[in-house]
Amino acid sequence: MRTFLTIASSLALWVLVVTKFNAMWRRRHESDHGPLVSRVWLTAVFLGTSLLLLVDDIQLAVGQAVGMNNFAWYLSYLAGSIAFQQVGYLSVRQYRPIGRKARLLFAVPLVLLLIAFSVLYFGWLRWTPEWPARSPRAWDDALFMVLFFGYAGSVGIIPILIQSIDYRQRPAQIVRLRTGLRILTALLANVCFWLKVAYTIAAYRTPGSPFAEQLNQLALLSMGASAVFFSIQLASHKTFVKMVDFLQIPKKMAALDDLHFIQSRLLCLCPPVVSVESTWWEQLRNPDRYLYRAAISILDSHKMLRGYLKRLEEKHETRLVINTDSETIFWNQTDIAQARQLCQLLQSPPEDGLEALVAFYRHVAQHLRQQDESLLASPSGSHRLDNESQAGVVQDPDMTAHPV
Amino acid sequence: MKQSNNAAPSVDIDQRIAERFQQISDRYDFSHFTLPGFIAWVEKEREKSIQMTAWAMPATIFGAWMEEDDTDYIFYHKQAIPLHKAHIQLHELAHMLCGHKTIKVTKETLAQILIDKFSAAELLLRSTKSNQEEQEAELLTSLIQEQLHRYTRQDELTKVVIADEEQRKLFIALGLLD
Repeated sequence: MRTFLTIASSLALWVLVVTKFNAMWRRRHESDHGPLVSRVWLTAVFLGTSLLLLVDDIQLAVGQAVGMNNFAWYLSYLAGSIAFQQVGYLSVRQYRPIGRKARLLFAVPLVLLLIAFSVLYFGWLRWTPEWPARSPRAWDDALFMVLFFGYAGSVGIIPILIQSIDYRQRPAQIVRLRTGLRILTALLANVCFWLKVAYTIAAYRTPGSPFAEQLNQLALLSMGASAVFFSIQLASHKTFVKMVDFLQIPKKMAALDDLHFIQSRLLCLCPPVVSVESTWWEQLRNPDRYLYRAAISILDSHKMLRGYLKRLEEKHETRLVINTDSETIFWNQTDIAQARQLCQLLQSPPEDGLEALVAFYRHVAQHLRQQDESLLASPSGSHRLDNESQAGVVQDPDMTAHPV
Repeated sequence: MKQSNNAAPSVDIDQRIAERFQQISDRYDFSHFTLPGFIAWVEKEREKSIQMTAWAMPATIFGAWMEEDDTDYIFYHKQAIPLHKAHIQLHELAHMLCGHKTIKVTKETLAQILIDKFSAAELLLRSTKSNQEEQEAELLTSLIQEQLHRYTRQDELTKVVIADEEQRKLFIALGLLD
């Protein structure tokens, strides 16, 4: 079962990577990404070779073929280190100018590491028996492994830092989500490698200790999680748009609640001629649409409110009675004061589209709620509530008025 | 503060307008919706030109539709923000698509209405459009908007059709401008 799962997950990952790389390859001739695509392929080859050489049977076969013990292990770490250096560079190269400058930060330690690996291998490891198990037998094994995992863990720090800066600088939700996933992927991979370092040290100090084994399991777990997030962050722009929409639902529902709060206030003063009802589920499924409708409804009511107040001023009256097709609107002095306040608060809505309009109305709703709280806290608060109950907040506030 | 309730659309209206919307969406591709494009389509369907005009409307009127033999006039609230203007235009088009009747005007009466700031027309318009018709038009507008959200064309709902040059020509024809 475990073998089947390993093969299936490896296949799935390869299909994903090949599909993605193939798409990049096709775009190669349409842009200046040719060298980048070659580098990505090269990285994949190095990484694949590194993992392949760690398969027990292959490791033993290579050792026998070349007549040098642990040669596949040595080659695997060389290829793996180059792959990590490339992954690090590829992760930051688009963030100019710092990304380009970061190349040296990856390359210099890599050269030193390759020299250290060679010294360790030809000085010690070559002369020890073939060792396919991934735990250290002696200090040379431990150092070999700690250097490899330590480098892999360190390489990820630079992309995390650069991408974190980028995350803060770019407010677009889609970009932020993708960058956030990249950071999470790198972070989990880093955690995995540093757990591997801890495991190596623990296993060297106390061979076969349960604690070391737990560290190893945790490392595998975080690598698995990193692989999942890596796959998600490769998703298309369209998928990211849908993900952002999904993540914004709570915020939009909160905005809708604020807009409905204003609508309920306006309902008391100028009821709409037309009402289009909606359920909570419908609003949840399409919050943008209902935000739009609520905003239109407020705009309608505000216009009517302004008109009624203007009529009052023109006639110098202290009460308002209007007979519409379906009802009679009556305002006493308290209503007039409320209408004036609402009218003033809703004055000058932004013209830059729905998002700005919703933000403006949320601000108004916040002001009204704060005012309600302070009125409730004051001794005269109960008086106002009496007035509201007379007005009667009625029916679903998702409506819009268009008498003509 | 107010007496009587305004009714929500009944099931009958819902069904009728849903059927009407289905007929429209069979003939018009909402996945490529633009307001000017939709207006052109309605013009073709009705075999009449549509004249959009921004005007100062009374408190309870957001938009108005009047017709001449070969032209439909849609008036929308001049001071409204673009999002609101586009909605009003769509609502008035929905009246046409619902097959509602409106007041017939001549150029002379239209000029009089505009000079009069709609005060006389308000009563006329009220008598021609019932509350039910308003509900039908708003429901159809709502269904159109829903479709636009489905096709992620909601940005088109913020783009108002501005017909400054046509409006100027109309006012000259009505003798309201030199």
